[in-house]
Amino acid sequence: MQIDDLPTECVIAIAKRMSAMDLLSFSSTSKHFFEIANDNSIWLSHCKNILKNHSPSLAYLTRIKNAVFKKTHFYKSFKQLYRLLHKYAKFLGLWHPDYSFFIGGLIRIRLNYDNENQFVLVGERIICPYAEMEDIYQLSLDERINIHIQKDTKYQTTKVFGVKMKEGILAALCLEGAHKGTHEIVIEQPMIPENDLPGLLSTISITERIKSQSFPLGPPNAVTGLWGFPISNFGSDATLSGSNSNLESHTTYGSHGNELMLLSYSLETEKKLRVTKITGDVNVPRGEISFTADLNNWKYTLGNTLHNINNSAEFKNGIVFDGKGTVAMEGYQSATKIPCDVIVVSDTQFSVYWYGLEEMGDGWISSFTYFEDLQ
Amino acid sequence: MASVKLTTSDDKEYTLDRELIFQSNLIKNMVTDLDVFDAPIPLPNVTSSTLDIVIKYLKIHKDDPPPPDKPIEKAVDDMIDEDKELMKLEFNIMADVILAANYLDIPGLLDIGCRTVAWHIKQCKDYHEIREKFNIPKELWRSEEEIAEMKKELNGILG
Repeated sequence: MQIDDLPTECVIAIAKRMSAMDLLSFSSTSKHFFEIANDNSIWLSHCKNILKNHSPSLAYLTRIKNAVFKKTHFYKSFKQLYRLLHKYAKFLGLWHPDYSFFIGGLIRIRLNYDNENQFVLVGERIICPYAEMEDIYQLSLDERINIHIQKDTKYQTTKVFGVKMKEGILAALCLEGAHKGTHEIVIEQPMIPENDLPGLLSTISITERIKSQSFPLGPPNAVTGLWGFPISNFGSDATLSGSNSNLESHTTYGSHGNELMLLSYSLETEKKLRVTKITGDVNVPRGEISFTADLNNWKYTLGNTLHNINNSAEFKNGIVFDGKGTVAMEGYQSATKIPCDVIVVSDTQFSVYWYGLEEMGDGWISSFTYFEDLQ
Repeated sequence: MASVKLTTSDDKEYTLDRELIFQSNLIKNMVTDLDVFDAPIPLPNVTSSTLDIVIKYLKIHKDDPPPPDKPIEKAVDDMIDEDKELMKLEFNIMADVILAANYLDIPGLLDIGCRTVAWHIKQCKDYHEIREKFNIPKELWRSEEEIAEMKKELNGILG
């Protein structure tokens, strides 16, 4: 039997494992293969692959495709969607901008389109609003413990830049805020010899002026979608609550207000939860571990703890794990680990009780999306 | 241990451990749904030489956990050495193995077979070489004009 005698489903299975470039050579070989290379499921698979850092589901991709199609009447198949993603997917995700060490933050880059139906890459800074006093309610169970609990805090985004995608070479980078104005960036297209098609990738290079300010540097981590964190060996594939997208949480930190955290956990090798700071404060800067928790065994349910906060309904099902939290003097001086209790309240909420500080902080888990405004 | 009997297209009879052959979803469903134990299951699409290769694969992977549902990987480098060794086959035999894996519903074998073929296609420098390598008959070729047109289209997608 020869390869071209294989039933279509087998050839499709092979084609799904080829790069788009190889698919071109492959479909040039015969009429049969050409028809197969146009199959929607192959391009769906390519779309999924190019977005695999974001673990897209079929429903999710179809939603994007339909949204894009409705708006432009042009991108009607997954092949066309691939055309879009091939160019821009590498920029999507959460990036770590070049902010100062003690502040940090995240820039989310996602696809959107403007009112002329032109595609734009939008960069937004993700911030957690500072807690207003009235948003905090106190559970003073013990004279010594301050509990900061904030209800329903959501992250907020501020637009930092938008990159207009034009056919051709030039695109405009519009920075908002302090760097307002239009700057030119170049989408470089390598010279292609006529009969040699590989290497069609376009790359964005940014003029020096902008690079030195707050544009994300380098590609994000394949696992976390984040840039430059010292956590590259720490897999977060395992799931704690049934969700495996990039997980960030915001946590209240006493006088420092809300901060963004990255939660990563592994349940396979060492059962450990690690929470790394995305935004920092004057004591513990970004990129440092805020606290870890040993997930091997939980100490007790909250019903009989020394905190004696079982009166509160929301803590009723909480499970307490042993943790270690990082505290430091201003400027990350004399950093030490102090014991803390990590209380998993629900799938999306946790609390941390810091023994040395006699303070309680609250956290919420949220995951960011990249296409939400396309609908 | 219970076993399952299979008959290949060239009338060879195989007796295999259930645990081993149950990696094939087809056989597993057949045996559990239809409750056939003693009667040999005919495999009209599979020759004995192909089944030998399939059995080699099943033996390598008999203790594997069920595969997770993840995006399709392209890299041949990620394959384990035993699989790479097993996939060193002539293309016509490879096609038989892929067909058998598809028919018997053994996702892992289908995956490594397809990955290997895709890898071989990647090694070819142009479509002439692919035609030669895979023995594609001339009457199925596309004309040079058609190819030029399609290149233009794909250029639009990748450019």
